[in-house]
Amino acid sequence: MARSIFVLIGLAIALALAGIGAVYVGVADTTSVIVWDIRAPRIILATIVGAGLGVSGALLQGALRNPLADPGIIGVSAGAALGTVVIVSTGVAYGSVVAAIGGIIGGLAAMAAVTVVSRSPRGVEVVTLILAGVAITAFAAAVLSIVLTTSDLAGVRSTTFFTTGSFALATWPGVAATLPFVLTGFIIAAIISGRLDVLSLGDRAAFASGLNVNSVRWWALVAAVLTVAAGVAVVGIIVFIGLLVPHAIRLVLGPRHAPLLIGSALGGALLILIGDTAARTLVAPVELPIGVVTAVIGAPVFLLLLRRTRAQQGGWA
Amino acid sequence: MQHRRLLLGSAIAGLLLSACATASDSLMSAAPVVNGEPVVYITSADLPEVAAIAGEPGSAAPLRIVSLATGVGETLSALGVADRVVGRDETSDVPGIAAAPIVTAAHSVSAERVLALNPDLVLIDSATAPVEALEQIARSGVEVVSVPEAWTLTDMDARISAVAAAVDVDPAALLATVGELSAVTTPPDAPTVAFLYLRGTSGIYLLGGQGSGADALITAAGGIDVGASEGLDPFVPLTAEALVELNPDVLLVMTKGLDSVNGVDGLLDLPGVAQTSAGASGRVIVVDDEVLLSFGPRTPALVEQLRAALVTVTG
Repeated sequence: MARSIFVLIGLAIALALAGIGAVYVGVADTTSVIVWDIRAPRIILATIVGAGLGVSGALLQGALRNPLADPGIIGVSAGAALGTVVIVSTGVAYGSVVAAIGGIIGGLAAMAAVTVVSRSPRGVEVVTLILAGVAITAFAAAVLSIVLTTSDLAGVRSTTFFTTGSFALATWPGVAATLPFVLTGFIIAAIISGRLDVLSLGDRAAFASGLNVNSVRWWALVAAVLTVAAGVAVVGIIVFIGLLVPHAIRLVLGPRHAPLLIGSALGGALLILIGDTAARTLVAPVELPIGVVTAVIGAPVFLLLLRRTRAQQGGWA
Repeated sequence: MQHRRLLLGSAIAGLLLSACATASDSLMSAAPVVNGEPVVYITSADLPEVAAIAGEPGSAAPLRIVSLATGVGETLSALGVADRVVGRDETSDVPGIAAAPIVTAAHSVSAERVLALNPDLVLIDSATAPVEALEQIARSGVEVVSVPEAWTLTDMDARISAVAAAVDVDPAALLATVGELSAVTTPPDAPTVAFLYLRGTSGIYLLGGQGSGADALITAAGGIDVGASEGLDPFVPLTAEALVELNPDVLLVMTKGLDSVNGVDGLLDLPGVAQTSAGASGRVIVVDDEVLLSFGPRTPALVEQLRAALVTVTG
């Protein structure tokens, strides 16, 4: 218990230091205009989106009892991207609250589709969930391409933007469009975190101990969409953070959801903030897309987890 | 070279997709004031029409030409063979040639559509794709001629000469008019210009650097290209901070690119743009996509317009 608190305080201090450090590094002189108009919204948006990704992954892994769940892998992020583009193609501005709502509706639709497909009497199957996520992602990407190529709005963003995610054009309105939804997701997660611990005993045991299993799972999945979809609407898809961070936190803090969720929020924010600061300074004045950086690190870890999960479950063939 | 052409190509594809968008509101060449900011538009209509400048084609000259080299239509027109062009790509959009059918789709040549036009000459450049289609065309016995690309004013002569040789017209008269562009010396206090390639409200914008084509035009018009003077690549995805650091006095954008960010107001909303000297005072020069990087007979007139525009916006 005391160890958890020390680790979480340590993470919070690291995040604060990373944030302060990010204010002072960059190509341009650290004038108030640069910091306030360009760096500050970018740093804050990276923190919000990173925290959302971490919490979303932790919620999904807990609610679906699936160690490989990540909003990018199971198709929620692709659904959010599609929802955003559909709304934007009607003339709504990118990075607005309305576009974020479109992203959330798309994310919820993808979440509903993927859980309905992979549900079985024995719960949500690990492999079916991943395969359903692959199909949903491919479907959403295809429809997204159709919308983008047929839209006569010149301002509609390129497909690559959504698949490689970037904070390059972070603005204060973008922060305002993301923050309320991510915070709502955090509040729901905080309320149900104790019940998620009971859920992790298994549906039957949880039901026997008086838990409304379906209600808790439903709220967890909604919160998992809220914490990630508005971010997708503003900065595009960033994969694997939702997978990596909760696993790393679980290794240190154990499986209890209260410290896990807080740790995943801090860890996700820290990782994205460092990643984005690298993206804008490493090869400056050129900008690296952060989604590419996270995928390069995240995909090998996913493969390792895949092998371990298969071994634990005695093989899937 | 290839990726620049792809970028230019996608700009022009965007143009075709949204062809109905803005012709009318960009038809002002004076300096309209947007929120007290000086913005100059240079459109196709501001430039002189392409008239046939060169002499008659020889008796062995090709009669049915398909033009697939980017933006070569303007040169064919000036060489007086517009009426012999029976097919074209999306970029050769000049009067007299525009009526010829387009035989490319999404920048890919359709060998079948080209051969159906029964051409005796197909003009390509190193960006024309796919190679397989071009080989099919060549195998069927049609003459396929590759003309050099042009990304600077000095490249223009070689390109015009190559096109002229292919269509068997003496280029001397046309080269004489193009050659009137005299060398300019850029004063040290010349305005600095950033050529921004824009693509959508929140897509990352690219800065033109050395060899973007725009650098040659900016220099000829008496400005300093900030990307080229930093030695940057032709099109660089720039961080917002880097643009602020380069701090251009004037922004140069293409009409369709500006549309894609919802006009001047949208441009000035992009992170890093508003914080530059150009953004703060709203000094923007907007040039129609099809004329900016064509490096053809209208380029000298374009340079004159750019020079005047620089004077207008910097007051």
